[in-house]
Amino acid sequence: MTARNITIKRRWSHIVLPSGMILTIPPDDNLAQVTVSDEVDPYATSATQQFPLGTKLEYGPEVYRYALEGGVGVEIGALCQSVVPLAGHINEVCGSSAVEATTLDFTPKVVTTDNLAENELAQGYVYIYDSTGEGAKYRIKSHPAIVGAVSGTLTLYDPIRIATSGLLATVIHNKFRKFIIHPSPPTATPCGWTVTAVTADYYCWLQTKGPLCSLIDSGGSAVVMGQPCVPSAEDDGAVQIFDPDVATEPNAGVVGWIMEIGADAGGAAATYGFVDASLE
Amino acid sequence: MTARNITIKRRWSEVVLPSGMIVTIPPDDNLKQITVNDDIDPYQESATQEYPLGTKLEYGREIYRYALCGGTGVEIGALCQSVVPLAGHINELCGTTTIGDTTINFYPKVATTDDLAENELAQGYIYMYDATGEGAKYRIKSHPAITGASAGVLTLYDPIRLATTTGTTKATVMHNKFRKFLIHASNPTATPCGWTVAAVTADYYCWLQTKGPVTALIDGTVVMGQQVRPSEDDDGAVAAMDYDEATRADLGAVGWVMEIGADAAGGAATYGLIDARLE
Repeated sequence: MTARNITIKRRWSHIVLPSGMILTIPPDDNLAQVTVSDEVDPYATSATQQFPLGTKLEYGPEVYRYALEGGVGVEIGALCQSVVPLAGHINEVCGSSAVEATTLDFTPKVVTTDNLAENELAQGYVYIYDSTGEGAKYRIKSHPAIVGAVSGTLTLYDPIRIATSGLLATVIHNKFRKFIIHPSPPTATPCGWTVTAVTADYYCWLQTKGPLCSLIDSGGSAVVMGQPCVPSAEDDGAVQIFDPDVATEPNAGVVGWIMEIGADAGGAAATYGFVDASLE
Repeated sequence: MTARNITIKRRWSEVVLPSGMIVTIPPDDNLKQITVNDDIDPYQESATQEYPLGTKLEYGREIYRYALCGGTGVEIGALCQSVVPLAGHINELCGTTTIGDTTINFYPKVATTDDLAENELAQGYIYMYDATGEGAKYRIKSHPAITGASAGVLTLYDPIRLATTTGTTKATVMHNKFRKFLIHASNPTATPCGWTVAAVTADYYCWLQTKGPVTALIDGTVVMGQQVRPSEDDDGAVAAMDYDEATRADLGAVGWVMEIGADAAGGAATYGLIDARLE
């Protein structure tokens, strides 16, 4: 077996805290120091990163994921989505790599627009879109700033399994990096609900499973107790009834079940319903 | 950081039993004694509570949640639902609080109908429906009996994060999802919460299966390899999911058909096998 390219070992763990919370910390070589106190507050936010993105926190029936807000700030009880992949990061040129190599060159398409800050893709993925080696995905560990549509080297956690040569690859940010309130309809994967107001560019916990407060869109048809809900096609951050009879809207996919119906959010924080989230 | 208001600590755990079962026990200050034996029988029921509601039991690909049956017993293989929130518990007045408080007053609306027995809402939630403090949820730890539409004090696990104001803030209280479940009405009237895997006596504690292969009452013709939803005809049964079927598909997919069984016709007739997907 080929070992993962992980430098810091025996720190990433699965811990039951005295309060009964369960914390699962994934490997992240870029986070030199992770401090686990006796308790973790899923409602706290911070300007500095405390856990790897995607760290999982279970608190009874609730599951949370550690995430970074995307630069605007998000209100409480809002369904959020991942950042939208840039067109110039999809189906672009990547370098040649032999089996077991742990680096891969990637060339974004457009100067400026597709520039990548240092480690912007860390904990994200590069996957081989087409040709030799196609279908394989690799988790990204780190990279320098990549600017001016020139090639940059991605260091991977996962060694290359199928040799690549002059291929086309796509890079994807970590799902929980720079989340935004979901537009209506959403334009990227739903990744969780805010459980407190989140300041722009702050780290926080998004709730992905279990009971939570949610903005409700009952403007078209009212949501129904005990039935599923999907992201709203009209109100950013809200959920609406899952009704397959309505064209396109149910295609957004079920994100939870209605425990209490609340009332129409009217596009902003009006009143809240209660949803049993099912994003994982 | 504000600490959770949890008195009993270092007891709530995740344990791999000798049999390979994994039990995950959430915090519950009201349960003074929990005994974890070498084996847990997910098919057994009991008159007394042995674990916190919602305790998770993984047994290979199957997942079970610890639950309390409502006042009517439920047959084997029936899809169940949570208790329906009372109208007089929704959008009602709550008391003034400041940040860090671990108690809040709640006013049920109607005398008698909306009365609450002691700790009836324990392990449930109060959430701020509207106005000051809106959008925040708090897990309920305990409360006295609340009767006569007068205020009762809810003690919370989660300290108040957004202050609330009497006469302004409106709150809703929710029972624990696994407390007093009932066979799902057709159509369901609250969130589906799992299948019975044995006949359950009224007011007994048991395990409901939420994931993995489970025997289920079947309504009509379901299709192998396709999804099912709660039945609109037969309480506790599942029916074929047809996304073109007006309103029925709105009930939501709850699993995938592994074996089709036959029509339950409203009772325990024959059973199919479903790959449950409630979590």
